[in-house]
Amino acid sequence: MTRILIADDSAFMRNLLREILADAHEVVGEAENGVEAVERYQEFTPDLVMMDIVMPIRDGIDATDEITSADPQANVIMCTSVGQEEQMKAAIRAGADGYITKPFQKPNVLDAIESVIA
Amino acid sequence: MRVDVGSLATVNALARSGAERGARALTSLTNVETRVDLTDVTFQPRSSLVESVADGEYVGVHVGFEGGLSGRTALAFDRESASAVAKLLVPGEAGDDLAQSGLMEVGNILVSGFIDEWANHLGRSINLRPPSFVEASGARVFPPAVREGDPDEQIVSFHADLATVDEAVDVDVYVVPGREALGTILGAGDGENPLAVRTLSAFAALTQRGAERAAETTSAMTGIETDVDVFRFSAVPVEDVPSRLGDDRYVGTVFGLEGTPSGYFAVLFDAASSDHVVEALVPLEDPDPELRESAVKELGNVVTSGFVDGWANALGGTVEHTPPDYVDDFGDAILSPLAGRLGQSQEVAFVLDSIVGTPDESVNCELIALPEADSFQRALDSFPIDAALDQQ
Repeated sequence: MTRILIADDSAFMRNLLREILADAHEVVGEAENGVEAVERYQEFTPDLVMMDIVMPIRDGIDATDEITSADPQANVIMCTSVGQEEQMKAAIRAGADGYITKPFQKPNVLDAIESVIA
Repeated sequence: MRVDVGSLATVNALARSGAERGARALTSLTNVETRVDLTDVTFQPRSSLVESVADGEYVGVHVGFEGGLSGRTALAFDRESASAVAKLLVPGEAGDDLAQSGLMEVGNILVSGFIDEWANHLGRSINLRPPSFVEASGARVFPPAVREGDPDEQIVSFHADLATVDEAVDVDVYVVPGREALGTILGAGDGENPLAVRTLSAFAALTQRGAERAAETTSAMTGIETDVDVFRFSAVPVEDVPSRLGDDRYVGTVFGLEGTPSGYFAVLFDAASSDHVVEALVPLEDPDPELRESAVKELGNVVTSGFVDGWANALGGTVEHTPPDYVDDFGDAILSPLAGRLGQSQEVAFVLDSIVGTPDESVNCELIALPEADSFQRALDSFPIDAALDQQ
């Protein structure tokens, strides 16, 4: 069972992701912005972070950069409504391992997790 | 750098594509098929944009964007639609906070559809800001930066109307880029194009003055005091032109225009207005139908001349119009043949659309100019921006 941190400023999306992940994975923590995401990562050292890009205080690309700089083994999937090629490239440069675009269906999320963790 | 009307067509296509992405996203989120009812790219005075929002209570989501392009967006759900979406997203007794969060996420995803299209088209990164939630009446559903400021300033907006097939949900998406951002969009591939923005703004302003002359003419001929309520200059898919008037009945006149620009012009009163206008023009107890028709034709003739003279004078040429065709039909039926003729040579129509009316709405007249793309391009190529702006 993969231990997952969800970072998204939307309570609705965090709730949706929790429901999608409930059967197969463990959600160890949640964050509402990039600063919290880094703090929760250090606190829980999850196997994987599901990271939104557009968040207040600090965005998901910045947070991913800090997390992967401190822990090169970190697994991060960007989980966002933004589908811009330039931002996808920026996310990959920051160390993201995968990218799924909202709105997503349960199979897409689970497939993305499997492809990163496998 | 010239104004390329093809760039307006591209901008419209991007808006359409963004709206379709938004509709797919909404379908996926709600499991109810969603369609795009309308997309347009519109130049208009700020006051017209504000007035285009119907009275009523709205739930809105604002998302700002910056970076490669900057501007504001607003989504407006009427209250029933917002409630319907919230129930679809968050069934059961999940609470208002989660429903609100769900609506904001819908806003985020819909806006991303538009912004991603531009970002990928321009090869630039555009950063979205976190969404904010508002409950507001009428135009207050727009962010202050959009609705406040000089009411006469020409601004551009991208508008899409999305609705579920069961019509339980209807949402209007407005994207309002800043002036610099618009120059970037219009200059795609060749860098900034501030001249395009100035030219289109000046052309729109000149045409608005044509509408004002039309209102003065109507007042002078009928004794009914009218004014320009709304003026818009839009780029829309040709197939969407008829739906701009819907299935309400209109009485009026349609003309062909010859010169630069050439195309079509319609002066259309809604059915009730036409009765008021005819009563004012023909003060007889029960004028026969031929006399009514003749009066409407004559008013259309004079209004049209006043409208197109501004173009002709600014461009130093002539714009002549054909004799009037009298029409009495549903709005979409009147516009369909005009759109059909334009559609033989262009995919996007340029619609100069004014509403002239009285404050009590007893008279409501639609003035719709549909220039042909090639001649519209020639008009813009030779358009004297500074002279037009000096006349303001």
